[in-house]
Amino acid sequence: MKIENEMLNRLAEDLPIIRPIKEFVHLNLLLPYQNQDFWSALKCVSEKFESYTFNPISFYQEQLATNFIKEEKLKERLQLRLGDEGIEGFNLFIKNKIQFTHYDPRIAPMHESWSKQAKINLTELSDGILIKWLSSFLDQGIGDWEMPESSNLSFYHVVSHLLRASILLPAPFSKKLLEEYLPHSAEESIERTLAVLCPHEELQESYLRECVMTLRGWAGLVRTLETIPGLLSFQRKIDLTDFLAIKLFLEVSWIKQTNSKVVAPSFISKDRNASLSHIEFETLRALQECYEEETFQEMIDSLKEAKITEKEISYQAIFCMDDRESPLRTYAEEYDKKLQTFGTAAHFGLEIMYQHSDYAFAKKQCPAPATPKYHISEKSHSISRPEGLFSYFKKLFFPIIHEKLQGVEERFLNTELKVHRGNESDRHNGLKSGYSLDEMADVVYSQLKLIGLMDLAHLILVVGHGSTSSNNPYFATYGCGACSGRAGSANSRSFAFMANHPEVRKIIQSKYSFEIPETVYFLAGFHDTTRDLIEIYNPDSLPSELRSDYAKLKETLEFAVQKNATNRSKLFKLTTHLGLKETRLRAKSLFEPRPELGHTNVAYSIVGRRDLLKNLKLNRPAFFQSYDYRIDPDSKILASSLGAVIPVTSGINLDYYFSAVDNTRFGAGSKLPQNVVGHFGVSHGTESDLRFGLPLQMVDQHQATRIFILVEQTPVLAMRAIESHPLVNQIVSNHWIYYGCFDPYTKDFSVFFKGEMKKVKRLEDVWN
Amino acid sequence: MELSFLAFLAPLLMSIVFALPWKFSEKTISYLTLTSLVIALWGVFFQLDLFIVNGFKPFEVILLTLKVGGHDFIISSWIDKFGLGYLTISIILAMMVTKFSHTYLNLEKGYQRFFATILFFVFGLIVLSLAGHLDLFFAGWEIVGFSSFLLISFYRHHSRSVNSAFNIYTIYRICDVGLLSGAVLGHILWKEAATFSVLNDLSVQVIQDSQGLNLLIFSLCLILASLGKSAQFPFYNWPARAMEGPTPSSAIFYGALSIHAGVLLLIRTEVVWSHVMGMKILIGIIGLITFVLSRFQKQVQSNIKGKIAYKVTSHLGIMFILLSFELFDLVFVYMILHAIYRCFEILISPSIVASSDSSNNKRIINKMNQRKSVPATLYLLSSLDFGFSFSFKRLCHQIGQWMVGGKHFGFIVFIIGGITYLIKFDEYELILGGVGVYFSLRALFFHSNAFKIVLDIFTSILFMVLSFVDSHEGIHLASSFLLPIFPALMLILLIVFFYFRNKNLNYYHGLGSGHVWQANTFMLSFMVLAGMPISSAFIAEDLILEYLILFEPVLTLLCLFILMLNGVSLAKVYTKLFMGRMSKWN
Repeated sequence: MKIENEMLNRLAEDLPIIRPIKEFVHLNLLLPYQNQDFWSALKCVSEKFESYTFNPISFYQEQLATNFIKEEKLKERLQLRLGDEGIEGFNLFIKNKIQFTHYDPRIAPMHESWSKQAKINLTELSDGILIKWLSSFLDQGIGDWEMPESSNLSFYHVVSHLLRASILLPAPFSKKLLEEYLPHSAEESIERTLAVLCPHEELQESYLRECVMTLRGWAGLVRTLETIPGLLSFQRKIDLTDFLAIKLFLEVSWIKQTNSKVVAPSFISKDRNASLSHIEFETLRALQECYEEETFQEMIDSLKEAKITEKEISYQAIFCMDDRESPLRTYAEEYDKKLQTFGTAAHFGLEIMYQHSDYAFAKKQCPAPATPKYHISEKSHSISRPEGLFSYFKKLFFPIIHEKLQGVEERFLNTELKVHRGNESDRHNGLKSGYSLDEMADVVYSQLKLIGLMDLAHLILVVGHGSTSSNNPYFATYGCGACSGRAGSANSRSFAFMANHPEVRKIIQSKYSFEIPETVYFLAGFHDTTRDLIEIYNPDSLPSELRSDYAKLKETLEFAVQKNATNRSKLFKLTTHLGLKETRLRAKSLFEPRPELGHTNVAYSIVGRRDLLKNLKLNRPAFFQSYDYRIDPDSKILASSLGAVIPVTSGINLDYYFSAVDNTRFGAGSKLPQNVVGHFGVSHGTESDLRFGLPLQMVDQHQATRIFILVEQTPVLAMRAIESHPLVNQIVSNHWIYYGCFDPYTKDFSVFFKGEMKKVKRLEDVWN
Repeated sequence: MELSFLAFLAPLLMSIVFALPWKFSEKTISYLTLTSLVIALWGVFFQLDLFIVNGFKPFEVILLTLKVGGHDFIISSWIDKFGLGYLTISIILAMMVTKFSHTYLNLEKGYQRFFATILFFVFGLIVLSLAGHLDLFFAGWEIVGFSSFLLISFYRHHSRSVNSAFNIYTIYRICDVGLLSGAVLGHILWKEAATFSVLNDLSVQVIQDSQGLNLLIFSLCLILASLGKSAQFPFYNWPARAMEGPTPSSAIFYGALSIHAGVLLLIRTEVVWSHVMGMKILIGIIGLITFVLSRFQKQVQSNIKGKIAYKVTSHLGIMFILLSFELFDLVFVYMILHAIYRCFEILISPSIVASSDSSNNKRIINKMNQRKSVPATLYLLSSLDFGFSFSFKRLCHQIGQWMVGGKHFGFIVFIIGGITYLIKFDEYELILGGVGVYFSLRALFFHSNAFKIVLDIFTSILFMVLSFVDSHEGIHLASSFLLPIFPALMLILLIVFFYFRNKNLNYYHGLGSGHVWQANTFMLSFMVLAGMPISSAFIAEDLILEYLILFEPVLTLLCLFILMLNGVSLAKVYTKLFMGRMSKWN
């Protein structure tokens, strides 16, 4: 059989997208299915991977018992979904008869037939070697020896070279095998090995499918590296064909080694029970729908009372739209009525590679789908933090002392960034090294317009965010999503620099006729979400007349982080003392599997004026993107805003959703036994499949719901905003999220349903 | 003074309490665990005090004498610097890991199970380091091995973990034969249990005079035992595969304590083997091979725990080399420091990603750029474990298959055994023992049906008992042996018959979550049958072997094989039936 691209694409469809763990990006775990309706995708996936796609049944029972889900409504919905069988589904659920069975993901019927025939455990034997070679090949710095030629050749040729150049060949390899089954190209090798392993042409694709599905993690990584080159610092040439060729070659080697004359077994298809029957699936769907609708209803009801109170503003702060910043903003605004906050994606419109002076490589500091065009570097400084064994020892036994001895955190160091590209033609690795004044003006103005910040106060704080955690391979999952999981301080500092630049202000004035008065000052800051620490960069540079405002702002922020930390610590199950100190210790503690709760339970994403919508009754954390409908008559700004908000927030929400509902299939499982492989991934123990998704410790308090995206705009314009963007349109119209709008003129609420915005009072009304 | 030993029961007590079906809150568990460890530590300090008062001279304490049918089973303790030092470090590290795990395992399913196992393990270490004679030492050794098995398979639904747990348990069992036969040989050599006080008093003269061959075998047995526990050649590959439990458990077992037990055994029995040049050379060569091979294999590991595992084995190799030069104090200090360091290294292993992303990454870049390019042959062999891990398992399997023979052999052998017992010609005991071994082998290698395996185990034990039951004393011993064994075996038989009769053991069934009481009963019976010191079967087994070796050494060996093989078979049935995948969800 010829290996064709279409076939590889078909195989790759079911593979997860796995980035190196340092470059963590929240993505919808069912991304390839996003072109289908949400429920049909769930159904399809639950049959294909035998995975569970709902909250635990006990959870729904609890909701029913506490009358959160109304029995009447549930029965009605079941009637709608299942007709007369609805009552049967209800009884199944009530009597706790719905049961879900998991199978071993490593069970592969065709391989099993082979194992029986050849009397060896084919999968185990070949996977052991394959995993070892793959991880050594891709290794980013754990192994001490380099796999010979791995930086020059592709994986297939590296293995081929390794075996050919070796003087001794241990079992199961032999010279004859190499000649026969490791020809010059990987495609040819697959053809030859498949002819032995699976001579039936029509079954060959399913055989290959088994090969990738039993090692989904590794195959997914290989596929991701193939499609997004440049993810690894030390680049490696590998593609799915190489992976399959070596996997099949190992299988053939083992079979030939045990018995050279053995012939392919007749593959018997093995019936597996469907994971959930139709009735069970629809019942659970109805439960999930009812649960989601009840959850959102409270917020919808509170929309009626939304109103703006006029107030005097003396300073403003731009935060990330992140749901972990929202409570902080609320507390700060409550404490100091003169503060107005805005939310936006915290890369602040900068698409950069950031070169930290201590680091060897530049890091991407913009949303994952964007390609950086600019390179910003830090001018070198000479403070370094020792991270030797002794410092770990201190961390383990004396976290408090360690905290004190720690001294300066590097991301708070007030170093200088090279933002301005003086010479137009300056390049660094093909990227523009810094922004020109014109480009800066564009960035600053479009960012301000995006969030509707047109009335500038004299002091404006720009806050990036990041996190600190110890002994945690998943540290990047807590970082700023808009900065590819890194700390957003470089972006906030660069943005403040740009906005403060007098030349830039002049260009903005002439180009967009928008004036940033000389008295306005932008100040960069950084919020550590784990430790609840707010740091302001370079406050000494402030003009003297703003000093008193700054002092007040600082006090407000101190209050806000204190309160935020206390409230957050209530959610941690083990904490006995509530407070800032205890919360901060978690970040440094070596034995803390949950340094913070990340985006747990996030269920809303609100796009609109903060002043109007901050008093909504939000029972779950919410993203808060600022947007002003008054300066956006044709919803162009909304469209560009949603173009970022919807993919990002739905990505985060659906990552949590699927990792939480089935942590063994979609998630990474418990992080306690995990082992770091080659600096790029984690696996359970030493020789097993790579894990992907979020670990159990990040999602075990997550109650899975889809996200509700509410925009402040008329239904017509809200509809127009999503139609212009194909990806957004796909997500919304396939119901992977709820999309609703609040008409600022009529105060009516509408929700998207089957291609149109429907004006409703209650969410379930759309079904009538 | 004997009463102070009660302090050492605290971990066992807490372990039993946690193993009961009642659920405790995480805080209670952690508090009780720490308390019991503090009590045990107090016990250690008490003994340390006595040791100092005694002028740093080792001494023996006789705690209990159990009389079983004319035989005495003495429970005694031998207090010396090695045991005390090892125990102190063990308990302190256990306390550290407990504190670590209290937070680390927060909300984890199996929290209570984890602490129950850790405490059971600590109790095993206590028995092992304070044991007065080899039989008791073996008891502690067994507990350590078994709790190791439980923690590797802590994630019971993960088939690879369970598979590793089973493989490692098998290696442990094979090497346990060494220690158990050593303990039994001691009875021939000294007409009583091989107490450490006797060993300590042995003079070179005595050793050279008496029973050279027996002593040689005795030493070989001890070395075999330490090879398995301390992961030396040819068993040096298992620690990398044992890193399947939660990180703290891997740290305390394979970084720190369990893995050094073999070295401790050799240090404490040095009097016996260190006077034979051959033994020293053997130990040195084994250490050297292990050092070289695991050093190479460490270089090609691209996952952090695997790399640490090979670092551990290579250092153990160095310890073995030093042992062959009789540098016991040095090895002991080395061992303690190494244990602390590795425990720590594994605990912080997850932070390696972050350190590669921080200012340390320049160091890693340098390392990557300076990495050596080695000959392909060396790289290939290192990455394939020099072929040992594959070939060893397959060799065992093939030998086993060959010995079992065809389908109807079982019936024939059973008839032969029956006739032999009825006619009772000369040396019939040996044939009966052989038949027993045959059925044990058959259980392990031939069948894939749960019920048939258990039936074969039953048959093998039947023949084993028949082989020595002729004399008056034999009947006495057999009855004391069967009293705990028979009910356990019947329970297993009934459980398997009524619930899992047709289960094919080529797959994991993971039925533990749906059949909780069956799984737990099976586990308890399994522990009794495997000779764990939780029932009188342990003492009875010891006495039977002791009784047999005096007049029929070969039969003793056969009985040992039967016990060992049955343990492995039962572990296989247990893992395949109850563990390995998720059977129930929600």
